[in-house]
Amino acid sequence: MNTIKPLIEVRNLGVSYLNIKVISNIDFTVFKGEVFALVGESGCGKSTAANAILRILPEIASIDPTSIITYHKDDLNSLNLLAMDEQVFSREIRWREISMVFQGALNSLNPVIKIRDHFTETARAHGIKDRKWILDRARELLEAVKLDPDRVLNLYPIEMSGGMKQRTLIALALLLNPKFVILDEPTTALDVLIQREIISLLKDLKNKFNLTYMLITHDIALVADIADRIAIMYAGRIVEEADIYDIFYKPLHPYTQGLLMSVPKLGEFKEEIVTIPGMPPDYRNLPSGCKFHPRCPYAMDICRKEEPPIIKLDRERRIACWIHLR
Amino acid sequence: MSLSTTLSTLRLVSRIYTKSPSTIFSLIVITLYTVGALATVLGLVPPLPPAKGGWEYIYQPPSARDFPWYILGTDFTGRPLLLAIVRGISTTLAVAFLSAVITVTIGVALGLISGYLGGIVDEIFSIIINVALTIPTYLLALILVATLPAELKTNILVLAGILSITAWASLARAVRAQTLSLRKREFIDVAKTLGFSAWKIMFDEILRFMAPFIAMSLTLAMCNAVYGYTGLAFLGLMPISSENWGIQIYMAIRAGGALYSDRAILALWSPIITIVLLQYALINIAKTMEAIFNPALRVSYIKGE
Repeated sequence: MNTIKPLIEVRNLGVSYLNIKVISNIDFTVFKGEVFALVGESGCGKSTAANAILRILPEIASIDPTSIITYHKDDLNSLNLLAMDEQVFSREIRWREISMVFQGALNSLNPVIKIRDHFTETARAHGIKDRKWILDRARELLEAVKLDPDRVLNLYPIEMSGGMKQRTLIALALLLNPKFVILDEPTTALDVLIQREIISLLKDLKNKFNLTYMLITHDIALVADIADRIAIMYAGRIVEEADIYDIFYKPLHPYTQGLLMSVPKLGEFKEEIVTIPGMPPDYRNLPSGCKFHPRCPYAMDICRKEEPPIIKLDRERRIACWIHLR
Repeated sequence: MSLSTTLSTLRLVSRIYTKSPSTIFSLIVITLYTVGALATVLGLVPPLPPAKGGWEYIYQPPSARDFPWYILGTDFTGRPLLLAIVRGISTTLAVAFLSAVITVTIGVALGLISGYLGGIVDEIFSIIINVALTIPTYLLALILVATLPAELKTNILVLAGILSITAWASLARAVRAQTLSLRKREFIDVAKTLGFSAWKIMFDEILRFMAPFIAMSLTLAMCNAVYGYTGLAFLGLMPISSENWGIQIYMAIRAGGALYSDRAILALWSPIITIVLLQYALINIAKTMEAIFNPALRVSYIKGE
């Protein structure tokens, strides 16, 4: 596995909804062939970051002009995705290079359009008119996600189970042979057995088609299973970024520690699950200094006054916390 | 679509339509009317004999002469009533169908565009729809027909246009409302991300979702147009002709005195029953259409529940 070359570099990404800033100048890099996870509570900005990469933010959103998202198409070509013309982006990048498995598998397919048409229409929207090629590719992908193509192609989404729909969505995401797939909560609303199947399926597909994943989730157990590197987000900021082992065995940021504590462990009896006290912050009225300080057990004076910068601890580890800055 | 899927769809449709006795009955009625209309258009139905005035010829009781055309007796011109009724099917159906198509096309197009695009387009279209809603369709049709030159009063296209002149407004409203809610659904967001054009999302993704509703609106609009067309004739706004159900009813009352004597009783009730049967069948078909267009309902038919 080659993890040296970056595939996508996000620099200084800031997104505002109306005038409320929901992502504050975050940086991260996804390397070729890895699974990069963006983890955080609901509303921490992780889906917004993913949508910004694919440029599917709602109309009320605006991206800071200083933001740069560089996509390394191959060794020679690097593109700034945010500076591209929408027509060109839609034709050449979206779905052909970068695709997405959407949140909420159960509602992402039009229930009255056959699966066959979902495939042909998607390909047609990207200029591919060769029906035979599309159907062959659809069959290959449906088989890869362990569905029976002859049956599934003729079904309506309404006739399928949640797991089948999620597999179909994954197949649909791979239709135009992208290199980078954003998985937005790929297992939400599925039961644990199906979750496990989907995860192992995603791993297989990654090897088979040479994919790079960016996983958006709040499910830390899922992350442990599949991710290589993790960035923890809080209130639109990346507070910690590290290797999977470091996050689980040596979490540094108090928020990361709180997240891990709140996961019940098998074989352990607890009267009450440890939770992080307080509520996620209100974007219209963010606390001063470190955005986590009202909920942080180690809050110091400086945390209330100044926001900690994100610094590099070693090669793969970054953190934004005064305790570790000194 | 391959032959086998076409066949299985046909089998499904036939199963849906033969499920209850009332739909079978409606299907038979519609088929008979369609055959009657086609036969008239193709010239297989004999033309009406020349009119014969005089009390001894009009509103004759049934007889077996020229079987089967005289079994309902004669009408206000001394012509065979059954033949006149049969010859009236084609124009009535043509006006009804054309009017329904016009109503549904305008209503759906305005509603979809207005609801999906929103903004200034929605503002303008909403004003047009609201103005159309405030105009009483039938009264406007009445006035328009009354002022038409005689040769246009029998023009099918003109009549269909007049009957649907503002009838599309309520449909446009309903379609706009449904579009407003559908465009917020996740699969529409997904469709946008997949690169589908606004046109395609409106007239394919959303339209398919509303297909059962639109099919139903089409048949209901046909019902309204049948009432509108025969009603205009009944009110005496059409040139006198034997081949119009509305005029047949009108004349049975006016010339035959059907409300006071039994003599023209057949001439009064035959066209009424003809109209009621057609409307009943149309509404039944509309109801069954939902099962064909809505995959969720279709599943229960496949399972035979």
